[in-house]
Amino acid sequence: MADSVARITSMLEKARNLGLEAAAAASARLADTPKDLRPQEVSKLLSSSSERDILKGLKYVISLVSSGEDAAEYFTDVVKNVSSSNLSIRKLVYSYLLRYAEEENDVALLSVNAIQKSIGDKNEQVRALAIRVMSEIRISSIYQIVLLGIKKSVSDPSPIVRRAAAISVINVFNNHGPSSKDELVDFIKQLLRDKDPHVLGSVILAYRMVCPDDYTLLHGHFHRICSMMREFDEWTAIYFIEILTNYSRHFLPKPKIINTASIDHTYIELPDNYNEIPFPVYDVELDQDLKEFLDSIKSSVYSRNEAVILATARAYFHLTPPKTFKEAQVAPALVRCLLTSPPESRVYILQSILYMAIHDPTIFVQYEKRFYLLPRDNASTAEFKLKVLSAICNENNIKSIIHELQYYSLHSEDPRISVESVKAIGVCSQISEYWSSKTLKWLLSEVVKSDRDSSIITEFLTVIRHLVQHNPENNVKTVVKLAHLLDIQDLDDSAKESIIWLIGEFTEIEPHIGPDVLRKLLKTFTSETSNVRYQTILLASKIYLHELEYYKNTSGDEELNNFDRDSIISRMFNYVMKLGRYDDEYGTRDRSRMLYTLLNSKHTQLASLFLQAPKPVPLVTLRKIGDPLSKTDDIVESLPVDDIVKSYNVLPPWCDSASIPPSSIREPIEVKGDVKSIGHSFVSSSSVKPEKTFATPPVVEKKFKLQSLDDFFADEPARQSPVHRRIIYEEETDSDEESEEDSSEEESDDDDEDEEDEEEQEEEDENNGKYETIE
Amino acid sequence: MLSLVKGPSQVVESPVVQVSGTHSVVRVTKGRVSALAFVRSSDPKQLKLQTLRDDDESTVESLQHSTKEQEIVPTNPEIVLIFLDRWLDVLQDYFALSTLTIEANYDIMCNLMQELVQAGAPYITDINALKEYVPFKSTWSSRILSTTNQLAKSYSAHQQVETMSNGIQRNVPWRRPNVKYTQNELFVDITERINVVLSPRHHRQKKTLLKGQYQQQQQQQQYTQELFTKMAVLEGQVDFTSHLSGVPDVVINFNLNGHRLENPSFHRCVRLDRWLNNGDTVSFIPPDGKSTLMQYTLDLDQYSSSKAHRNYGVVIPEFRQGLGVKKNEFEIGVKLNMLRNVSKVDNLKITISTETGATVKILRLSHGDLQTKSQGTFEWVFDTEMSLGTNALLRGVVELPDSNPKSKEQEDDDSVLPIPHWPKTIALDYTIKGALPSGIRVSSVKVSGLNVNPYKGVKYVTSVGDFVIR
Repeated sequence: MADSVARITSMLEKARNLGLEAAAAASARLADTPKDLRPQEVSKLLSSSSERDILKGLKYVISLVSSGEDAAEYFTDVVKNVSSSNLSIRKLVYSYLLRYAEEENDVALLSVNAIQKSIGDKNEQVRALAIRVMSEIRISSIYQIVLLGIKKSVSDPSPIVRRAAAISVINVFNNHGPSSKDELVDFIKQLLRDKDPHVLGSVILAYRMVCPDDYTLLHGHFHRICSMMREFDEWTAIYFIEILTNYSRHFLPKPKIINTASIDHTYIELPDNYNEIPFPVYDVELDQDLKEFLDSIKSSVYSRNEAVILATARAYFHLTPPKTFKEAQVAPALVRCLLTSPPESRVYILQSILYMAIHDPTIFVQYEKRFYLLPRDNASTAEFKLKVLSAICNENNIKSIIHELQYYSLHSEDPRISVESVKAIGVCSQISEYWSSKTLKWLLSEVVKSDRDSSIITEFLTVIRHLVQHNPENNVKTVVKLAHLLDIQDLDDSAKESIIWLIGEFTEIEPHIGPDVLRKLLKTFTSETSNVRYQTILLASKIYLHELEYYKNTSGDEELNNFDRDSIISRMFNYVMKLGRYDDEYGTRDRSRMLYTLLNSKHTQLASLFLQAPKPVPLVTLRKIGDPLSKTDDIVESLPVDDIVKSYNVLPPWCDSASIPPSSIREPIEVKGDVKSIGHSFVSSSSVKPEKTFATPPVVEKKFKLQSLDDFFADEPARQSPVHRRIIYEEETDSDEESEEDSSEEESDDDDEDEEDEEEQEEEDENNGKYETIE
Repeated sequence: MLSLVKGPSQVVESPVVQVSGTHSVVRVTKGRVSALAFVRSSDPKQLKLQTLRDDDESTVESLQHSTKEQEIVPTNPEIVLIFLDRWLDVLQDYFALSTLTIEANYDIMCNLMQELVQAGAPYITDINALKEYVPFKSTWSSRILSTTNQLAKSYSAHQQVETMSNGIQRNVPWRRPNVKYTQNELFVDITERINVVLSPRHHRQKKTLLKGQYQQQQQQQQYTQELFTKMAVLEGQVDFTSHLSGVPDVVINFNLNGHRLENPSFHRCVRLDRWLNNGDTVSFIPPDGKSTLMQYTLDLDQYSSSKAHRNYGVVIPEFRQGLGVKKNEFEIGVKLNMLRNVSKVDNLKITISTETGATVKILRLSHGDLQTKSQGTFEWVFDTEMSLGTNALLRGVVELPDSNPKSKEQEDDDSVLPIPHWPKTIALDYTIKGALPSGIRVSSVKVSGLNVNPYKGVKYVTSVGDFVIR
């Protein structure tokens, strides 16, 4: 009862809120003023001396602009307020100005003066806003003024303004084109020396837009950027990781691969192809600077942002050998994203995984089960999961993978997924002779069942055809079986076509199957669909041609003078042709006439060119790197992933070892900026010593030293916890009961500390839906 | 300024087309092409974008073309999609994603866009930072309605913003400065979703039966009654809601119940080295309001089957086929095991899907009700609250409409077994409050840097991602 009352109340509440929202929306649009009076009303509001009225007027104008209506008529009234002391008013005026500045060139120019003045305002937000807005106005005559403004803002004491200056650099570059580049590069150079991570974040964006190839600008900042990596926000981290990855390719020596199996520890440099390392066990020696960079991004795999993880994966994948890549824990992070990331971003994660997996399948082998399909996967996620599965398939896991794939191909709701699964089966089965014959058997037994979608049957037969064509001599029996399938009453037409075609192709290898199949087909010829009829005609032609050639070769009778025109095969051929030439379909008629003429002449060369040309094996393979038959570039080119993933993985080539500049070019440049660095205590805790394996920035004194005595004691268990953790860890391999004991012990510890709270917790536990109080 | 990315097919079809004064974000899905564009409205291409929304394929191409020329460094494929996700978070936080609220506050929306995107790239996406630049407490209307207490609160919040904008240094980038609450409280919400695929382990025995006048080959299948775990993963998420004044420092200690969380993802406020050293402690200065602290996945496949089984949680399904005299009956059982702190299971529902056209004939049903949903889908619906310790059972037969009249005779003849049909998949769905399947619990929450002792609440919720028997 209480529940339903609550529900009704909440419903009413919602309805009331809805009504109020509508009212607010209406008031924003000045709905209570008659339509034809609104312009005057707005002008009055905008010229009012009350800030509230001005805001109301602006709100109306902005809502007009936002819904795509024309609000140009208010231009002068709005721009009048450009130097209002109220920040909200200014922001809205600026937004409006940017929208209409180009159309109202002259009046806009008047306002530029006011904006320029605000660059000297006391308030940092106003200054930042002013420079940003000014740089966005697309009027070429103010170019010099904007440059002056940026020059002033670049050395502003506030990081917010300097950040805005960096953004303005990009705006100017976009609005005024590359001619402005030289001046802008100077600004970038200046701003790169900034200490504030936010400023750096915007500068690096400007760098990417304006001068992405000018690596000389970065030399002096390399070490500092590496040490600041943890302080950047998610977007900044992405840009820096990507740019420094490219930088490393240009200026740092390749990692050395040391053969630990040999006594003299011979080494090679990182090969171009990922799996070309000839040593079974090896050590990796990284250049000092490269190591510094890679260590600095190690923690990025814990990021919440999938783009950061992708950038980190790119860095490790393209800069280090597989061993280091695996140690960096990139693979588990990528795999985690498959479950935790927003659904639409999963496809690119999967495509990136696929890209890496074809280079080195072993990276993802242990996560096989994460690529199994779940009911909630959409078609494209499923498609790439299946591709990854077929890429990581090997002798050890093929049994379970094939089993899964078979299930998907038979039971998926979506025929697209079934088709992809069958394709994946085709790829997996090529792993060995044993598996291809086993798969073939399974395919043959399943293809008979008639209730399948025709696209799936076709895919089944494509894979069968692929397997058969790969190894025709051993598969005569398979073809015989397929021929038997034709006897089935309601076999799908497209399946029928494929089988007939395949038998026709087999005439060369085993000429005895064809004629008998043709004999059977002739009986039902007239009731078949046009495509099946055409395939039958083609089959007859192929058999007949084979017969002609056979005769030619055995008798040496080039002119076919004594060819038995009454043999069974020729009689069947003639019969089919007769039917074909008077077929209902134009296409069938034309084709059979052509074939008839072709085969009736004494010269069969043309016909054999036509009918016995070697047919390519259907492409169901997913070629892996290391395949001796194809070049790496081709494989990457043919990889079925989106262009954006491919281009993301295109990096500059490693620099020639002879021309690598000395590492002294990366001597730190003096930085500037009065801001105190945001305390490292936020990114690294001060109570714990920084871990050695991590390149943690030097720990700055904790900022929150003022602790009360209570707090001090409250901290106590937290300090004990490392010890405690060790215990659990050891016992993890033992039975669980012990670890439970362990945790109960810990609870009793807590009890001692604060009994009152514990009681409270008990009470709360009764109440399941609510929060439990915790000590 | 314009940036656009070609995305994967079938991006969520939600109509994410919102316009602010100067910028619009447009997402279009058309066949395999999905476009997302941030466009300044004064951009001449804006008009084209309007038509783009009306499914004009050629403009998609032209837009792509125009970006190709600009593209210098390869773009990260995820960046736009993740930005969009953050952007939706912001809209959710500000406007509760209601179109009407957005329409009533285009001015706020407009200011937001100015901060979110600059120069065609994400600028400020952190909600705490945004709140500082674009203050927006609640809509004007609901402010009037709210109690005087809240009114005073929102007023003081407004005051803060005013003073702040005059240039107080931000110390912690993800935390709004000068946060004040009269009632300090914090909440930890841990949610785990169960993803399990079970499958009956079958051993097939083929027999050729010679029965009566029909000589036919039949396949008799016998199944052992054991479900075999194909795959089991838990996905967990720790949300933190902070209503704490000043700049507090929080340490949460987890009791991981013997698990090891590999590669979780953390909010940037979490001190990583603390976690890496301990593996069960997160220490951080929380952002104000609600934030996702941590996300993790837990592979249950790595454990022995009995331990994995224990981690599925409270609801244990059972499935048997090939029962009854004719060996064509199946049985679905659901055991609700007892668990500390938990008394009930909410919204338990079992979806049975069969071949299209088939019907399920109930032989025995201990709880709830079996409803036909659509062709070949049946839902076994329970009470919204089921107390633990219950064992529910459904026994039935899947029947296909008979096309073969001969089988009528067969049915009469008891000695001939009809070809049995089974449910194709069985999916479970439920939620449990008060416990997590993995048994992970918060063992302590410590707050320092705060004068008062805040209220600390912890909530555990278990839900189901995909839990299927197939």
